[in-house]
Amino acid sequence: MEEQITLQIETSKSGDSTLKVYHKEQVYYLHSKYYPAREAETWANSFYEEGKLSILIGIGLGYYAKALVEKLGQDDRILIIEPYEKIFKAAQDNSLAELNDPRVIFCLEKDKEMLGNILRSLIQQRFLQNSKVFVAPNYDKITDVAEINDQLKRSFKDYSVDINTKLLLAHDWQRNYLKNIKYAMQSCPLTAFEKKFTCPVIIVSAGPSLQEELENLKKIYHHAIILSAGSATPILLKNDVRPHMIVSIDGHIKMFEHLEEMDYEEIPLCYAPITQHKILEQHTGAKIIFQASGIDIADWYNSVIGFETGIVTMAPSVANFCLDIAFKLTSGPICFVGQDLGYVGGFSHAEGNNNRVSKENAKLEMLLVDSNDGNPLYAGYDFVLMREWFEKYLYEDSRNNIYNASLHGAKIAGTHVIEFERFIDEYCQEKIDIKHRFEEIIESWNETNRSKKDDFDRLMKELQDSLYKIKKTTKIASELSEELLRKVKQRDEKNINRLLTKMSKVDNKIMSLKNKDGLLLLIIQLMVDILILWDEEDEDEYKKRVKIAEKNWFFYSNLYNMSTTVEEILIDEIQS
Amino acid sequence: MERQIQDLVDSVKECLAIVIDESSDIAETFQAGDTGKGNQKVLGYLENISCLLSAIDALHRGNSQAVANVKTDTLQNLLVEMEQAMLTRDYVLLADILQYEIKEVLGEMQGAL
Repeated sequence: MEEQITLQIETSKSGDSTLKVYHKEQVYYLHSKYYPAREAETWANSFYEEGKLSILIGIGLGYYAKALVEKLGQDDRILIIEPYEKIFKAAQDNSLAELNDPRVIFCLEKDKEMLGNILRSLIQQRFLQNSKVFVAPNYDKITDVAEINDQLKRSFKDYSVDINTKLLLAHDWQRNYLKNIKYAMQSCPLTAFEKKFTCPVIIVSAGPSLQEELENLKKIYHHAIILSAGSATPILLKNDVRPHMIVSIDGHIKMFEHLEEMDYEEIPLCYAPITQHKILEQHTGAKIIFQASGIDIADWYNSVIGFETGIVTMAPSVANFCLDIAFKLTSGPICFVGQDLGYVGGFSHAEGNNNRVSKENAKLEMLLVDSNDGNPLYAGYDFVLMREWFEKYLYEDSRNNIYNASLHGAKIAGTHVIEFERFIDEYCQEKIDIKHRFEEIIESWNETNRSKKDDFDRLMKELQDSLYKIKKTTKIASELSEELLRKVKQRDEKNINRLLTKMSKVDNKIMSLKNKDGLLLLIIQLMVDILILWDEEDEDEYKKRVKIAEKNWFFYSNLYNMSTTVEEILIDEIQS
Repeated sequence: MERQIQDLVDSVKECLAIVIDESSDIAETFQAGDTGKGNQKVLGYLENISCLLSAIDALHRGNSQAVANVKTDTLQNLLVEMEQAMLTRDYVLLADILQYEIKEVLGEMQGAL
C-alpha cells in the first residue's frame, strides 16, 4: 500500500504545515491549506462525544487528533489507526510528540498483532462497548476505509464476542467464588488488620529493578511489613526473601502454576474470592480475605460466609490493590520496590518472572513516559493504566509518606523517589515482630469467629435449595425462548405474542429471584456483560427481531447451563 | 429604467451578502464532516451565485457604472475549481475554496460595487 502514495508537505497560510497526498493520479490535501488547526477544531467539535472511545482512522499531520485530545475527558481514550507508515512518520516530524498523552494510543494498520493487543486491552477495560469510529477527512480517498472497519469489527468479534471464551471465564469465575466459600469461612477478614500498624509497609512488585533490592529486602524482615504483589512472590521465595503477606487476586490457573512448587505456608495469603481456588487449596496456612469494590455479589457473599471481609478498591493490577491494602494496614510510610511500570533495561519484569518479555517482543504499543532518573522510558498501555490508577488514588487520598524506590522506573505522581537503602536507614530502624503480630491478629479473630463445619453444611444445603428454584425457572425460560426464536424465524405472529406473554411471566419470576438471591446474581452478572458486547448493527426489522430472540435464547439457555454447573460445584463441595 | 437598474444593483448587493455568509457556513458544514448536508447546501448556493452572475452580466451589458469595477473572471475560475473538488469529493479542498478563496473574491466584488 505504501507505494501508492507520495507526500508533499506544504506551509499553510497560517504558517502550520499541511499535507498533500498524491494517490492514483489524484491529489488530496489531508488538511486545510489555509488554517489546518482551525479546520480540525471545527471537525472535532462536531464529532466528539464525551465518555466514548474515539477510534480515528488517519493521523494526517496530527491536527484532528490534537483537536480531539483537547476535548477528551480524563477517562476517555483515542485510538488512532494510520494506514500509511509514511504519513505516520510525517506526523512524527510535525507534531506527534505533543500527543504523548496516555489517553492517546497509536497503531499502524499493518501491525495487526499490535492492533489486536490494543483492542483486547480496550475491551478488558470495557471501552469498546462505547466507541465511535471517525475517518479523518480525505482518508476515504486514499485508503480502503471499509477494510479497516471490517478489521475492527473482526477484532471486536474475536475478542469481545468470543462467547465461548467468555462463558468459560464465567464458569471459572463462578467456580472460584463457590469453591472458595469454604476457605472464606475460615479466613480472617482484612478488616481485622485495619489501622493495626504504624510501621513501614513495602509493596514488592515484579519489575526488573526488583533484582537489585533482594538483599535489602532480607534485611528489613523485622522492621517493615513486606507485601508481595502476585507474581513477585516466586522471585522472592526463590531468593529466600520471606514476605509477611502475599496478595493474590488472579483467577487464572497460570498463577497457581507459578506458585505450585513453592513452600510458603507460614506466610498469610491475602486474597479476593475470585482468586484461583487451587491456590487457596494448596496454601494451607492462614488466609486473609477481602472483596474488591464494585462487585455486585460482595454483600451476598459476605452474608453467606457470615462476616464483613472489608473492601479494597478495584484496580487494574494486584500491585494497585496492594497500595489500598497498605493504606489499610498502616499509617506509617509506604515504599514501592520493583514498581517500574516500564521496560527498565529493556524488559517488562524481573528475571525469574514468567511474564518477563523484552520491549521488542512485547508486541504492545509503547509510550514514552517520564522516569524517575530523567531518562526516557518505554511503557506499554497496561503499565500506563496502572500508573494512572496509583496517581488518581494518591491524589484522592493523599499522604505525604509514600515513597518509590524504583529509581529507573516510571515517575508516579504523589510518591517521593528514594534509594531503598536510604528508606531503610530513615524508616526501618525500629524492630517489630511482624510475623508474631500477624499471628496474634489472626488467632484473635479465629477465637471469636471461627465458623463450624455444621455452618458450612447448612449453608451448602440452603444454596442447593435456592439453586433448585433457579434451575427450574431457567429451564422453563430456556425452552420458551428457544420456541420463541423458532416462531420469530417463521414469522408466526400469533404464537410469538402467546410466547412473549409467557416469557414475560417467567422473566418476572427470575427477576424476583435475582433481587433476593445473590447466587443467581453470581450466575447472571457475566451473562449480562456478554450480552452488552453482543454485536448489534443496523439491520432490517425482521433481522433485528431474530437477533433479539437469539439473544433471549442465548441468555436463558446459558443461564440454565450455568445453574447446572453451579449445582455440580455445590454437590462436589458437599461431598468433599 | 434607472429605477430598475438601481433595484438590480440592490439585489446584487443583497445576494453578495447572502453568498458570502453561505460560503463560510457551507465550508464549516464540510469541515464538520457532514458532506450530505454540505452538498445539499451547495446546490442552493450555486443557484444564488448563478443569479448573481446573471445580474452582474445584465448590468455590464446595460453599461451600468455601478458594476464597472466588478470582475467575475476569478469567481468563474474558482467555480471551475470548486466543481473539480466536488467531482473528486475532496471536501477539504472544497471547504478551503469556499471559505478562503471564493469568500475573498466575493468580498472584493462587494467592495467594488
